Amino acid sequence: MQSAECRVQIAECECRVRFIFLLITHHSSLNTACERTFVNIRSQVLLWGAQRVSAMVLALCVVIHLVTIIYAVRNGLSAAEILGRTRGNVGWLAFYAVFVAVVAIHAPIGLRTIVAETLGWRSRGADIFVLAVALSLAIWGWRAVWAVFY
Amino acid sequence: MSMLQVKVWRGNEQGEFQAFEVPRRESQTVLDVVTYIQRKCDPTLAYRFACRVGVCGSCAMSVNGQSRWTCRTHVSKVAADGRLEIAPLRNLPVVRDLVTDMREFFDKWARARGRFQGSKRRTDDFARVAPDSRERRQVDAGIECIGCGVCYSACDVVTWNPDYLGPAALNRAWTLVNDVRDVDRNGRLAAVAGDAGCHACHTHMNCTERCPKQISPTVGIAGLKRMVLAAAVKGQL
Repeated sequence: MQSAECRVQIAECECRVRFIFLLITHHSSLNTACERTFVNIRSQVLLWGAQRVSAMVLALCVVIHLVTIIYAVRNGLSAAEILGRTRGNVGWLAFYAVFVAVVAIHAPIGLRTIVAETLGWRSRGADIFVLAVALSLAIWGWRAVWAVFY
Repeated sequence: MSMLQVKVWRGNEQGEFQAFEVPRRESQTVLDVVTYIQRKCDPTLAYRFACRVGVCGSCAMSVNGQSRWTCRTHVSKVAADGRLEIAPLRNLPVVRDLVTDMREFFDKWARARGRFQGSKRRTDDFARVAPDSRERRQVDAGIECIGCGVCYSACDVVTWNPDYLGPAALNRAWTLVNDVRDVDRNGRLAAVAGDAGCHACHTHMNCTERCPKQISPTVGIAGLKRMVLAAAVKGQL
């Protein structure tokens, strides 16, 4: 059984969460089109360019990555044998560091368009969300790359 | 006499299809069918047309789910089974029945700076543009647009992003940035850039598939994307 004070605190907390949610999701309706986003027109164009260039690099990286996986599986390499080849190998470190970087650039830009077109989310909150996704992909990806190198 | 089974949208945003039977005739167009319904079956049916010969671009409708100019669309081409479903264009507010409000469509032409901006006076000599120059040929490829709204109606990106300028406005901008007499190139590139401009296009090519004048807005939009990117990299936007 909750005390009256506890129920009041929960209600206040719910109110704050709803207020923050409304601020994020309805921000776009409070602003004109050009103020909806942190990203100005020139930056929107450069983001488009970055996504196209990163797609070209990704195409190459994915082919190399798939060939590597197929080679490892078909030759029955164990985890220890794979680690034996990647540890201390600057070439694999550089390749996968670039792979992670282009994923962290390419995917969030596409996600920004997807949330705008399918959810109608075109606010600064959306930009912050995709930036957080980009940083997460980069940090966790590079952490994994470092883990098989060091 | 064989009869066509025709369903026509009645109402505005809210409404329903109404069924009619229309006599099948030789060389009959979809506009002929709609006109027959209004004159013989129900005079309250609202629709829009003017020239009847594919010049004015005012009679576009959705026919069996696809946007078309109805004056040049033969029934034999779209209703092999004798059935037609005629609705107003997509992506535009419906005024009544088959009539859409085209204001947003044409406002976007203005937002894309679809107006020629020259620098010469009437006392100046004629500008000389070589007919076989690259720019002139690119203008030629897109200049015959009649503003029917078929591409705009067929575009999924307009549905998902109502701010998107749409294929017709961008095609117009493309013809102007290739017009060597125009002096507002960078201003126009800035107007068509970004999330609501040419970079929103997914290259689905519905506009190219449906354009009754065989224009490819997709080609023009792809050209604008490259041109705008180059301007952005140089800091000219």
